[in-house]
Order: sequence, then structure tokens, then C-alpha cells
Amino acid sequence: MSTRPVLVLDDRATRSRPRRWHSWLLDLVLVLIGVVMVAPLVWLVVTSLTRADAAFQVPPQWLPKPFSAQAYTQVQGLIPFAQMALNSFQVAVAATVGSLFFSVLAAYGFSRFDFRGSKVLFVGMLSSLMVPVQLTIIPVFVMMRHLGLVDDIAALWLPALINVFQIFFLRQYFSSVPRELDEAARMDGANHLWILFRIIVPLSGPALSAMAILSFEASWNNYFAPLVFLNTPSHMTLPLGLVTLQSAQGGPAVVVFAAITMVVVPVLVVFLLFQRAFVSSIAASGLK
Amino acid sequence: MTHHDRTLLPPGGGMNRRTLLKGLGVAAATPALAACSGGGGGAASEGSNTITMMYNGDATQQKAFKALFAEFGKVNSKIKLVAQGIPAASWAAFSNTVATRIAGGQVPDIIQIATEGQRLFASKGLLTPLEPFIEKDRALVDGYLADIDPNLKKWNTEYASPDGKTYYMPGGYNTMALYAREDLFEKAGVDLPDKDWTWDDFRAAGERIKSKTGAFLVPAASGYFTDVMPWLTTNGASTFDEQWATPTFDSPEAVEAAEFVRGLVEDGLAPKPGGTYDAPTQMKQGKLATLGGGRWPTLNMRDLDMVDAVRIVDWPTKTQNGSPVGWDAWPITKASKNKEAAWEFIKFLISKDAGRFYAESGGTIVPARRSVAGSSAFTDDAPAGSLLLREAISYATPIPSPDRGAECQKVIEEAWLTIVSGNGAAADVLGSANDKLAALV
Amino acid sequence: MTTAASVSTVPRTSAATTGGPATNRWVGLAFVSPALVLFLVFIGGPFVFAIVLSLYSWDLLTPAEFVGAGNFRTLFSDPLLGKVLTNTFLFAIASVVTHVVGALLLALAVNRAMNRAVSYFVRTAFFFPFLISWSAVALLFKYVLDPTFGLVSHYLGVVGISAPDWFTDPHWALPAIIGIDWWHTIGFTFVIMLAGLQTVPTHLQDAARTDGANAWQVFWHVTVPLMSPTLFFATIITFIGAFQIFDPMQIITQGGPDNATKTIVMYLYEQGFQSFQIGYASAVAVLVFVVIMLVTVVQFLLSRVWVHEQ
Repeated sequence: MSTRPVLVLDDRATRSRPRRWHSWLLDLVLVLIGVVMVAPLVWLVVTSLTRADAAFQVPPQWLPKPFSAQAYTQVQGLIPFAQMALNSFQVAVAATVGSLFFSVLAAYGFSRFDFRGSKVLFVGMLSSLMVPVQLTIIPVFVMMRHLGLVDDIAALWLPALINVFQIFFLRQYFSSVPRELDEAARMDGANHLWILFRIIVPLSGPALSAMAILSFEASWNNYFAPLVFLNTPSHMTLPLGLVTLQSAQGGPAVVVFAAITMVVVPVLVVFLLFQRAFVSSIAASGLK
Repeated sequence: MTHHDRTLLPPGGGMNRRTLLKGLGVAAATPALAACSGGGGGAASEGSNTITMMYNGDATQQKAFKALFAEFGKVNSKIKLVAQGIPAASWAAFSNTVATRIAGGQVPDIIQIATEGQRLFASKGLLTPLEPFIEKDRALVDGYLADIDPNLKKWNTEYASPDGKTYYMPGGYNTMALYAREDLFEKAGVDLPDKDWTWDDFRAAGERIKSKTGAFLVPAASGYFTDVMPWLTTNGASTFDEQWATPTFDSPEAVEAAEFVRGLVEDGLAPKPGGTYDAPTQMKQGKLATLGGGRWPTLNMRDLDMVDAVRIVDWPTKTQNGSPVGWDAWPITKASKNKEAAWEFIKFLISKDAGRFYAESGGTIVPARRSVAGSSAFTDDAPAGSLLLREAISYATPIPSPDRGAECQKVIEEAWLTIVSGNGAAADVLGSANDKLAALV
Repeated sequence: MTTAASVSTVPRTSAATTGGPATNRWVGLAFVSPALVLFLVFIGGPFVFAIVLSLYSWDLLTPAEFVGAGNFRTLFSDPLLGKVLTNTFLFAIASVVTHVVGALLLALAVNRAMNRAVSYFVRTAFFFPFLISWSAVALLFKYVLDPTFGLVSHYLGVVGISAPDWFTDPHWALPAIIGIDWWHTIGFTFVIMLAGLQTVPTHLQDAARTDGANAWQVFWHVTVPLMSPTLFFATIITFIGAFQIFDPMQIITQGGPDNATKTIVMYLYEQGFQSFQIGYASAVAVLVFVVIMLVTVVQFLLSRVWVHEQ
């Protein structure tokens, strides 16, 4: 495990040379690209706040004129948005907390004990990272069908309790926590659970939060598994429920936009609040 | 999807039902297939007067049905109705969902099924024949059947009864007509006839409207029911023969229809297809003169405050009047533990009161009963000419829906989109689509 | 800097590789076993079961029937398979190239002294779309690329380019989705690249510059080799993700027009969960697995050649 910093959004004043014209030009180009990246989202929010009969003008409008928030009030009438958000949240929390718990235990086992077959087990589990979810989802679907869990969010979070990447990542991280700490604690009579949860886990905050963010994000945005398992609107997660808004006739477009905005804006707020944690979690996943 | 009913069920149900179902589902984790032949966990055993209804539909336009079910609760307080909408991607997926539920012990008592799914469901052996119930309430049923269009009665046996038994009670239907914004026609100085106008009249009107107001004439999308069938049927064509056994999608008449619509796009009379054209909103903005639909756009017109600005007129014709028609139907499942209560609900649905109530509370279907469709419940706060939707059933063609209907629909819609977007010659594209359809039946 | 700080307070130790006492073997297994059980139930078991299923014909309702290699024969004789695989590989390769090159350039451009506000805006704008779910992105871009009132067609028109009909023209539908995917996920690759770039010791670049190397030479002979582990990782991870692309096609084009955007996973989904040919879909899934495995192995072998070991 490398100990290089995982934080990357911070500015790095690397060169002290004076800024030259091409530096300004580069800034300009970057800002232009940034504006293009952001434009669809701005258009989304502006349109969702425009009165239905004035929306989707050509040329596109960049201010909500005439203003109306009515579309937002209509979303809940078409899909049970709040229930869907709650479902998404439950799945994401269960998957994140559950998988972290099992991964922490397993990572401790793999990093601290060299029991017979541990290498084989570890490599075996690790190689399953190559197995695409589409392969396992068919038998899991059959399983859930027999358990009567089709159309139940349990069909989403139960399989998410095992996360091999987390185990791999945390094992690497735990291995970098010095053994001397364990041994000192053991001298004092501490058992393994105490060592794990009182010494190693507290020292692994960044790794755990990185894994938590990745896991939560993957669950929150998942579309494929909910599409396979869920079919009643009140049982759906948000990404799936959002798509049911789009109907064959094109649908009430402003209402669709309002719903998309209601999905995007909370994510934006959370992101802006915890930007560093988000970015380092992604960066961490790329560091071996 | 259900283009013509758009009735889709409310996210209703809520926690009660969910926890109930969850318990049942776990209890029924036994050999899943046994239930298909009539066994299974038994949703009804919870309370012998609870009935469960399921149907296929997306999230739009649910209010009227919610209200209707609430009304049933008032009229019939002894039976508790739990309704559940499933926005399935296809009728095959929907029937599989239902079969899965039944296998898992969650037995719906009633399933609302549109034309596309009726034959499929009847042929899967999931439904119980209705004759014993009809016999018991002969007078009521006869009164109902006498009030609905004779075609509806005829088709219910022709298309939804593979073995001669009656599995469905037909419900409301939808046909296709044009909603036209009158002031755009006035501004352009062209006549807007109610009926008996030809494709050429229509096109000529569109050219004037475009030059005078800049508005598009009509959207050219590729929905099977909403965009393909109206043009085919008004030229005497269809996608399949009357038995839904042989595809006829490459007939010269069909090719002609596709070429005509392509012409509208090519000449800028219709917006480019394949996008997210929000027709009612564009019409409100004065950028669109007509849009096709059944009853459901009436709700858009109400929302957009345009009921008085538009008139419903017949689809323009090439050789004859034409429209597709699709209808809802109500069967009772074989596995239902509560068939009597389910029948009570169906009786409620076909009653005059329920028909009126549904139409008044914003239903998106033409009521099955002619008397209701002809009443103020249907025509109030609706565009002039709404009755044309009711009349169209006399010459309409049931939407051809073979057992592999979802796959057929996909082939049809893709081919149509390819042609009207200018990515293939009509004759070639329809020819190869027809071959694909032939392989599916 | 909290994250970085707390990581670096943990000194590395050589003791990390020694095993625990022999008496503790069962304890190790006990710690691993909950995850192991879950692994067997949800990954290992299903993996084996899927391979078995691929030898059966089953619609979930009627009893399964053993067909041996029948599903694979049908699969390989389906004329659609070639089209679907071509689409999938095209998408994956285009995705890898545009992501890796684009993200590397953006990271290089950003990784320097910049005005704070500009830097913040630019980095946030590049990264944020990645956090939005595919379903929201796909729905939004259906409108953004609408031929009548979409942003892209309009502004291309303003600069004199007549935009194609993105989702109805078979030549443009896949490129359009490649573009949407780039918009959506470039932030991920960007951050990976930025993190990799910051591991390149500045003094090596400075040294090269002092020796008279121009910017291009520094980039090509110093930065790129030192970043090769990152480039390698980004390539593999992007490829595997792109090879399984499904959401935007399912939501925007349903695989059309004329199957131009039908990918292997869409094909699998249609067969498995729309037509309920469970055995056949499992055969498709096995094929997806084999391709991903082969590509991963090949990439690892190649990496021996071109990845610079630090």
C-alpha cells in the first residue's frame, strides 16, 4: 500500500515561474470546456423552472421566463418520488454498511492470518472481479424468485453485501498498519475484535470512507439490477422510477425535467459539501 | 407499452401491502411452479375479502383509476381492493411478472389486460372462464353487452378466446383521431373539416399553415398504435391479416403510407422524428397544428388550458376511414382464492355508475358503454368532436397483437422510424421488416 | 489535507508480511468466513450455476431442458451477434481512447499553478457529471440532442454545422452515445489521471527541462513512462466498464436504430429478462465473461512490456 496522498482536487503551486500568455489561454480553453460540460445541467434546471407552455423554446432559453415551479408539484402525482428516494436510500445504506462490515472482517482475516488456503481463497475471490454482474445476476434472479424477493429491495442489497474490491483494498490498507500496534494491544490482553475495531479501523478512516463513498454511489446510481428485479413503482429505486416517467407519447417534458433536477441537485449539494472526500475516494480506487 | 389506455396504476398499495406480500413471498419459497396449476400461498387467506388487482402501465395518468378504486371502496365496503400497477417493458415481461408473482404465492385476483396481452394471457392458462359468473348475473351482463359497441363484443371472442371460452369482460377502449388547433387553420385560411378529408387535403393544409404561421402540421413519431396504424388503416392496410397470422406490413398500401409520412418530414411539415417532441406543449405554443391521439390528450388539453382551442377531427383518409383500436379487458385468475369478490369488482367496473364516475374523474379511455360515452360525463370539458373517438370503433381495426407482440411491435416501430427519418427506402425497409414479422408468428 | 495526513502518520513496516501464530489459523478463517459464505452464495455459486444454466433451455415457467452446446450454437449462428459484438467493441475502444487521451490532456492542463476560482470551477465541472446516475443523464441527453429543440443541434447550427439526427441515423446513434458517455464519465478518468500525474516527481521533469528537453519531450519521455501504471489501470477499468455498457442504450435508443446501438449486454437483457430465455441469456453472459477475461489477460501481458515499474 502506498502512502501517497489521495487528495487531488487541491491546487498545487508547483511552478513559481511567472504566468505567461499561453497560461491564460489555457485557462480560457479550460473554462470554455467547463462551461460546455455544465451547460446541459443549467439548461435542465432552468427549463424545469419555466412555465410548461413556454418551455423548450428555440433558441434555448437560459433564464426561467416565465417562472413556474408547478412542474415540481406534479412529479409526486406521477411517480411516488419520495418513496423511491427512500427505497434508494435504504438500499444504499444497507449495501454500504453491510458490505463494509463484512469486508473489514475479511480484510483483517486476510491481512493478519496466514491460514491454510488463505492465498488460494484470496486470489480466488480477487479473480471474481473479472466476472461481470450480468453473469451472476441470472442465477441470483432465479434465487430471489424462489425466495419471493423479486420486486423487493432486499434483492438489491443482499447480493451487495459481498464486495470483493473492498476486501482487496482494505486488506492492502490494513497490511500497512504496523503489527507492533496489534502486538502491544495483545500484550495488554486485547482480543482480535478489539484490535480490529479499536486500533485498525480508526487508523483506516480514509480508506473506509473512500470505500463507503464508492459503494454508496454505485448503489444509489444502479440501474441494471433494479430494472431486473423491481416492477412496482412504490418498490422502485430512483434511477428506475425516473425512467418510468418517460412515456411513449413524449410525456410532460417539464415534469420529467423537474424530476431529473430533483435527482441531480441533492447529489450536487452533497458533492459540494464533501468534495474532497468524493474525489479522494475515486483517486484512491486508482492507486494500488 | 399501453399506448391506448395509459391508465397506469397508482403507486398505491403502500406499506401494508408490501409487508403482507413480503411475508407471503417468503412463506411461499416452496416449489415455485406448483402454484401455476392453482396452488400457491394464497394472498386472499389474509382477509377473505381482500382482492388484488395488477396491471401493466407506466406512471402517467393514474388519477382517474385511483379515484375509481376509491369509489369502489365506498360502494362496496366489504371488499378491500388492492391495486398494483406494473410498468413492464412488454406484455411478455408483464405476463412473466404476473406468473412469477403467482408462483411466489402472490396471487392477483384480477388483471387488467389490454388487447396486446389478452391472447397471450388466455393462452398461458392463467385465467378462469367467466361463464359461471356471467350465468349468475345474466341480466346485468346482457344489459352491459347491449350497451357496448357490437364490435367490442365480437372482438372479445374473436381475439381473446383461444378455446372458445370467455375469459375477459371487455372494458373501455381507445381509437385514434386528430386534435387540431383551430386558430392555426383559420390564420392559414384553410378549412378544418370534421371528416371526409384526404391525405392530400391534409398535406395542402399543412403547407399553408407552415407558410402562414411557421407551425408544423403533425408530429411523425413511430409508435405502433399512435403513429403507424392510423396511416396504415386509412389506406386500407394493416400490419397483419385479420387472424394476426400473416404479416402484411409490406403491402403497397403500407409502403405508400410510410412514404407519405416521410414526405411530411422531408418537406418540413413534421418535426424530425426520434427525439423527445412534446406535442401538446408545442401545440400550446402555436408551433404545431395537429396531434394524434385517443382520449388521453384531452387531459393534456385540460392541463394546458386548450380544451376550447382544439377540435377533434377524423384522421385524414387515402382510401377509407381508419383507426386502430385497443381495449382493456378484465379477467379473473385461475389461482384466485376470492373469485366471487373479484367478480363483484368486475360487476362494479361494467356498471353505468362506475363508467360515468371514471369518465368524469379524468379517465383516459373511451367508456365501453355507448350511453356513458354519449353523455356529459364524457363530453363535458372535452374538445368539440370528442364523440368521433366513440364512433371510430365502428370502422377501426383491432391492433394486431400476435403472441410475440412485444417483439413484433419493436420490429414495426424500428422500421417505421427508419423510413420516416429518411434512413431507408420504404419498400426495402418494410419488406425486410415483414420477413422478420413472419419469423415471429 | 486530513486524508493525506492521517495516511502518512502510519509508517510502513517490514513486519507487515509475517504471519500470525499457528494457533490463530482458525481465527483467521473465522474472520474471513462471513464474507466467504456471502461470496459463495452471491458470486461463486451463481457463477457455476450460470455456466450450468447456459447448457439448458429454460423459460422459468416450464421445466428446464438440457440442450448441451445448443445455446452456444444458436448464439454463434445468430447474425445479430456479429453486429452486437462490433457495436460493443467499437464503443469500448472509442471509449478507452477518448477517455484516456482526453483525461490525460485535461489533467495536464489543470495540474499547474492556476487561479483558485478557475481551478475550482474547471475541476468541479469536469468531475461532477460522473456522480449523476445514468438514468438521469440518459433522459436529459435525449432532450439535449433532440433534433427540434435540443441544445446541441441548435448551437451547431449557429456555427454553421448541420447536425445529424443523432438517434435515428444509424451512423450517428453510437457516436452520440459515446459522446454522452464521455460527458458522463470523463470525471472519473480525469481524477485518476490527476492522481497519477501528482505521483510523478517534479524534479525529474525539471531535470529533463534543465537538460534542454522541450515540453513535448518531457511529456513523452518522462511524464508518460512514469504515469504508465495509471494509464494502464485507466485503460483496463474503462474498457471493462465500457464493454458492459447498457443503461444509455436501454433508456435512449432501445438498441436502435437498426440495431446500431445494441450492445452485448442489451442483447443479454432482452433475451433473459424480456423474452425469458434464461438458458440462452446465460450463454450470452458466459461469452461476456470470456471476452472480459481474455482482454484483461492480454492487457496484463502487454503491461509487462509497456508499463514502467517504479
